[in-house]
Amino acid sequence: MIAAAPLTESSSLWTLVRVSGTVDLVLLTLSIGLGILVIGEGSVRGTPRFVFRHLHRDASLIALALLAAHIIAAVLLVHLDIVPTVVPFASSVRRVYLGLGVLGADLMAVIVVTTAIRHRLRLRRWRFVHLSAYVAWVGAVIHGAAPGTDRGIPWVAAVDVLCVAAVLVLVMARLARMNHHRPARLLAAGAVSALVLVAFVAWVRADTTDSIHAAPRSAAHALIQGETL
Amino acid sequence: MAYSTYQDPSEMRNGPLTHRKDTMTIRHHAVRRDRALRATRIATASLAVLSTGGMILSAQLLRVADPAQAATQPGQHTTSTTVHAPTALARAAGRTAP
Repeated sequence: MIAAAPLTESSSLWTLVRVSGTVDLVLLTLSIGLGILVIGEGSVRGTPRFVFRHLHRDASLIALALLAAHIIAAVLLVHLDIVPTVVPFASSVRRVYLGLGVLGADLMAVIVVTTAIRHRLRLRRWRFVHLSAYVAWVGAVIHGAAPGTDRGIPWVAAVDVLCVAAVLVLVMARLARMNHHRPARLLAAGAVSALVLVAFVAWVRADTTDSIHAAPRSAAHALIQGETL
Repeated sequence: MAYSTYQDPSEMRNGPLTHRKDTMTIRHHAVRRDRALRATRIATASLAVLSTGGMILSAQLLRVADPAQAATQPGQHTTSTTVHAPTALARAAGRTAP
């Protein structure tokens, strides 16, 4: 019983890390989408724009709460030090993928702080910082869909791909509103978006097929050769 | 005059309201705003509930997921790989296990 308790605890923490990460990505995507809708003046299809502004803020705050849960659970699970938790790319394990997640979290924190003191900042400066939400989101997507995560599970991979597709479509819709008189630029942006989506799907699928087919073969080879895994 | 008082935002009016249509417009704005705020609060509460539900559902789905496809918990290895794999894998490769 005594030995089982830490195992159950770590298993629960591990589940919390995975679940909060997956749901947080969906909420971040929703927040980005609402943020795109917030831009501009007047109502959106008869709905006052402040409705989207409130929802954007609330979705971001819920996402932030889940992000905090994700980080705290991960820190407790692997006894992560404070430096790799806060400083991007400072971890010795999974430096790039973990670093991207840390970078995204840091940027989210900066965005929340600058939004809280928005009245003290110049609009252009605040907007520049707020645009880094896209960088944070990209970091979160790569961190969540990196090799070694749950992306081998079909529904998790589908969630990742749908989130990427949703943001690309919304960004394209926004660009279309801005550049409707520049069709060439719009076409180029559409082609890049489609390419990004295809590359992302290929990246996620490549690892899935690797983990199903290639990994057991390499494990067998290593074991037969007497190597340690 | 080219000004249209009916289309001005209600907050920008200074003088007393005399026209009935003006009063109606202001009331309409207030009702619409309150309704939108109420809808926003309901949507936020729904979002929180959906997030919680999504987490519970995800936890259930991850529990029943194929362990070969799922992420491995840091610091843990599957028993089948460390104990049973050499014999089984050597047999699968057409060799005799040592």
